[in-house]
Amino acid sequence: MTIKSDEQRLSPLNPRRIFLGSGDSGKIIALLILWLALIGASVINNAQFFSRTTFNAVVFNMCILGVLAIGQALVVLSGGILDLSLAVPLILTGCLSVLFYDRGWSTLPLLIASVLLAGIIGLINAFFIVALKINPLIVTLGTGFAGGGLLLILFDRAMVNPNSWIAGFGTSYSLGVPSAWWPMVLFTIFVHIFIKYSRPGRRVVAVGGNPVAAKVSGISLARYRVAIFFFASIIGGVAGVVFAAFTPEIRPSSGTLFTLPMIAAVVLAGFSLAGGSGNFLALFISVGFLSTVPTALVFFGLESLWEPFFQGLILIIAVSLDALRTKKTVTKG
Amino acid sequence: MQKRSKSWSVIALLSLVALMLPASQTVATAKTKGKFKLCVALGGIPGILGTLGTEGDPVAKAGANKRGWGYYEVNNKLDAQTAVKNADLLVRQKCSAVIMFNGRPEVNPTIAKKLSKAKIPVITYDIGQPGWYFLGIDNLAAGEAGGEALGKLVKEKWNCQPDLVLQSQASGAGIVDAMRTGGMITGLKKVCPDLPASKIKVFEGNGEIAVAQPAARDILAANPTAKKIAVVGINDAGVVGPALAARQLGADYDVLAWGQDGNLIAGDNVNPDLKGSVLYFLEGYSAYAFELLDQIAAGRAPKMQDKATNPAVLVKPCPVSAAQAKSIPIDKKRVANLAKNPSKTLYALYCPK
Repeated sequence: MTIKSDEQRLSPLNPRRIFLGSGDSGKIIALLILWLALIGASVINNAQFFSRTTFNAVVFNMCILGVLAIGQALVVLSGGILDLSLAVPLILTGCLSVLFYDRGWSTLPLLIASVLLAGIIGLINAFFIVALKINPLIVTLGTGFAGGGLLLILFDRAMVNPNSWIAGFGTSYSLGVPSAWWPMVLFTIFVHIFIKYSRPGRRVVAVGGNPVAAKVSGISLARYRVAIFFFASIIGGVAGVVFAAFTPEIRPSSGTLFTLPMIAAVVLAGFSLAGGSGNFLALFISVGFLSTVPTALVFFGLESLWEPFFQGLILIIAVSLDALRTKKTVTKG
Repeated sequence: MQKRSKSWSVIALLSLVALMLPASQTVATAKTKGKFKLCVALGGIPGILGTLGTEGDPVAKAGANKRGWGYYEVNNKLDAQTAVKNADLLVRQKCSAVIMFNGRPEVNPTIAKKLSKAKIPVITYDIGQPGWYFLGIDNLAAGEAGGEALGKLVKEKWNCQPDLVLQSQASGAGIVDAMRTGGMITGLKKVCPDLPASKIKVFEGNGEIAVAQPAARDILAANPTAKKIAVVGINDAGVVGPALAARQLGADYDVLAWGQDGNLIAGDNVNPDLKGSVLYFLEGYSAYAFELLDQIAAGRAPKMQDKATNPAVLVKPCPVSAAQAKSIPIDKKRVANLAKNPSKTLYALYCPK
């Protein structure tokens, strides 16, 4: 009986294992408590916080940040430290999808082409990081600046046709929630299962957690790192489609708005900046928490100008916790 | 002998008056001996026509040609180094006067030093620099005109009883923001004087849809009973964001959004969420510059007015409804037509009466 229940518990088909993973439940529960505490405090402060409109506002806040955070988390998990250039594929895809739409392209080729072209940014990053062995922070900071400058020269701004399907997607609802929320949800589920239960997924964790051991066991670090930076940019590109759906006038400078919250979400979710550890369900809750903060601030009577202050504060606390956790692990080891 | 002493007194008096004249006037007249040469330093902003843009200023060129002046253009390319190099080029070209737009104002003092040394008077658009004639939009009038136009709609539709007025500010723009968004509230209150202050919610929209939209969404969530929403802001993007936020949150919102700058209402970039905007016709600024240039060329340089708060020339703003904007052609056509009529302004040609 015990053996059977252990088998069930450890089975890859066990829903609890699929969604929580092993050893991450503590983080997830702590984040959930944090999120619920914020919601509870906001409701006590103003009962109107508990409304359908607030729910929708928070969900809309999650849409772009959530997708971008998944791309960033993959980079962190694989030991790539951080990708500071993810704003570039975001804006590039937004601009390209507008450009292709204006040229009469149909939806599917337009989406595939603009998202794949965004992946080029990841390949450029990977070339410098993997082939030339330059620090990822410096490389992605550089491509972020250079890419942003180039976008400004090439596009200045891109205007989304108000009658296009992209514009409609940004205001429509599916299954009772904003349609733009679903890419984030589907990506979270897919990436979570991929990382936990597929061989390439587990290798990504191994490359980030213990690259020496991964190399010894025959894993090509270079191949995995190139793939991760490429896919992070692709995911940034998907976020760009959602961004285009929300923003009728895309400006190259707008992408930088997401850099700090995206990093805060990943670190708060417990992804170790040293690589090799993190849970995508925790990331979902972290994004939800960070997306609730600006709405809650307004209910508490604070101006939106306070938002960057709280985001920065949360980032500092989360990074400090990560540092403490790493120190503890090293001491124990 | 008495006559001689009288004439000496007149000469002495005239000399004294000449000495008392502002330095700028003597500077400006110093270059008017040969053929007058107008030089334009383009801003290099992509997507904008005229001096601020990249493609040349046909209005300045047409005005110079009409007057038989020489004409020369450089492009600052939104780059500080290029702008400084261009200043040397303008000196070598022996320009009689310069129209300048430099989007990198941190080097304007350096450029001003070079041009002042060569005694070349400068007219600057929208970015103030001591010693340069300031020409720009009348931001306060623009704000008030937009606010009044919106007020008329609010009165007509809601009997001056909106549930909420969203004020999308861009505090980084400083005095311009205060004049435009503050001016819009003043204009709105001219039509609806009993509008309570508690209904006005100020928030940071930074003049960007990507910033204004989520901020407005949160304010709408915090005011769940507010459904009749009026929106004012520093520019069109700053008010389109909140209007779109309301559409995202539900179909039961009724939004009246009136912008500034006409970027998203005229020509080929029409946003359906805007009920109106205030056009500045940036691409036609040079038509106004000739008010100053004609005086400089005639050796009667006007008094130096070099601040946005004390401008040499104010461009008249033009409030237009979405319906009126449909009849206004795109900027390329506007500029082409103005170049054919260099004695007019875009306001005179296109602002609905």
